[in-house]
Amino acid sequence: MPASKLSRRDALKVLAAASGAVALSHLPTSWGKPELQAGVLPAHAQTSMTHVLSAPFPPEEIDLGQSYCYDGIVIRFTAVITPPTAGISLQYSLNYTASGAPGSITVPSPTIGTVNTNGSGQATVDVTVLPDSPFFGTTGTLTVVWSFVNPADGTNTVSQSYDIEIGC
Amino acid sequence: MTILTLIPRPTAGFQAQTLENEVVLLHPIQNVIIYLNTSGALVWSLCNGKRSVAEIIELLVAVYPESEKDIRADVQHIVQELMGRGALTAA
Amino acid sequence: MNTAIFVSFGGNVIRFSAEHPALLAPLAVHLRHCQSQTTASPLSAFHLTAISETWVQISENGSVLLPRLERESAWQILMQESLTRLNGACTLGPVFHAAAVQGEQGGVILCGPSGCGKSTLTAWLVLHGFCYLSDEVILYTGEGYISGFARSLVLKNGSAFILKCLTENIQREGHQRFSDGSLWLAPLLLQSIAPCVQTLPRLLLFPQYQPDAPLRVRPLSSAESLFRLLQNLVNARNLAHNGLEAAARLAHQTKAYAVVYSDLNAITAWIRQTINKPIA
Repeated sequence: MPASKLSRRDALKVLAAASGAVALSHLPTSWGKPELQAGVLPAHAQTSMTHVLSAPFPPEEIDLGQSYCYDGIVIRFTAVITPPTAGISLQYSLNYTASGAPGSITVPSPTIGTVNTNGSGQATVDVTVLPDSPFFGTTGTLTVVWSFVNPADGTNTVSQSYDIEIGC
Repeated sequence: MTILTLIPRPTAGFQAQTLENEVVLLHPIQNVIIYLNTSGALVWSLCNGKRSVAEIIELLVAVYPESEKDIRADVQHIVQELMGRGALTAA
Repeated sequence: MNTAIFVSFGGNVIRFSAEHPALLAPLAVHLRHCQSQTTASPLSAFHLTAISETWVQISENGSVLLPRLERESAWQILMQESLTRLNGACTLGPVFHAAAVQGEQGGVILCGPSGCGKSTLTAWLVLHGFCYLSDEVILYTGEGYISGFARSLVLKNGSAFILKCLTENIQREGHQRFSDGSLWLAPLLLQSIAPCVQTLPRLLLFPQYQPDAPLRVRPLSSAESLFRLLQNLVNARNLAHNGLEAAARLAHQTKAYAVVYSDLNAITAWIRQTINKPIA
């Protein structure tokens, strides 16, 4: 449909018919930049839900068949939100305090990060603590503090600790 | 194939509500809501699965000849955006 | 001794019960204006059982829902559940995540996501002469009216300044503080009359609290208003055409504005001035 064959009058008729305008006068008098905004329909019945954070499961050691002295120990921490909701962002903040031979958190790095809850409302973080020296091992306490990233999701915090003792 | 030769049509499942020459599109399964201002709504209404993007541009240029350059860029952009959001499909 | 309360919204009923009235007392106080005369066919029946001085159990329809949680967590969850279940089942019309108050010239809807300042602004407006409908959800009926779920206002940590205005009243029954800093505030602590049952909306506001921001107001077209309303429509799947047409009627019927504010006095004055303007 080359422009040269299309009169303004004919084009106006097509536009008016397509846009459902009952009168040509309802069409815009000048061209403006098209604007698109996109959003989402909220999840079913979703409102400002306040969740409660808890840590009902004790931290557990994950056995990867590794050498504790050279590869470190892996501890899994799990936080739970009630009611269970997927996709709620939780922040973990990790700290290892040595009471004997020193050690460090090597995974995750950095030691403050976020993780989303799954469909059961659970979020986990696996933490590796490595002795600073493979000859001396390490003794100390690994602590995680869980909190909500978005205060609208909930506001309480919970912490969990695990005592580590690696003798080498 | 360039965007100009595409023949876009509304994707099945989108409901449209026109209010004062602007349009709101809703796809309840995909949970998508789209707002289009007057010009965006005009382009949307011309995407009927029979006209190419080039033909839509020519129609609009015939009505708003003083904005030909803008229309050529704007129509391609908004059609791409609507296709990217899943609201338009190439026929 | 078993005790029970029935709560309704949008044509549906929820039953809460407990072995002892003290376990239900906060819910009875803070859902007082949502209580139902109808007790037949509740959507869900929640029961609270004390398992120790600290811990309680929540059952739903005879099955254990949450085996062990602190009392205040149980109250918060049940308050939330009452809303979620009632909204989710409502078929009478679109239910929006929005607060609402009524002024002399009609209703004001404050619509927006969590954290936009709905509850705080609602508390402020009620404290300054507007009648409370809801701080969380409203139902738009086919006749053009809105009704609200008139639970107590839930103020999150950060709305503490509201409490400064309540130093005399706050000693009365009707407020419940939680360890997370949130507060439930009975509407009768803010106004002397019962919450309004329904109102004809005159203003539809999409507020956004922004610290230190001057008052900025932008009129919205009906389509922009509809676009924003749909993002706060919580029962679309229950409605004909997924609520699009009903929501469009509300958007078309009510003048809408996007409002950025920090000063509650300034936005209150603007609302008073705008709601009193004759409809064009």
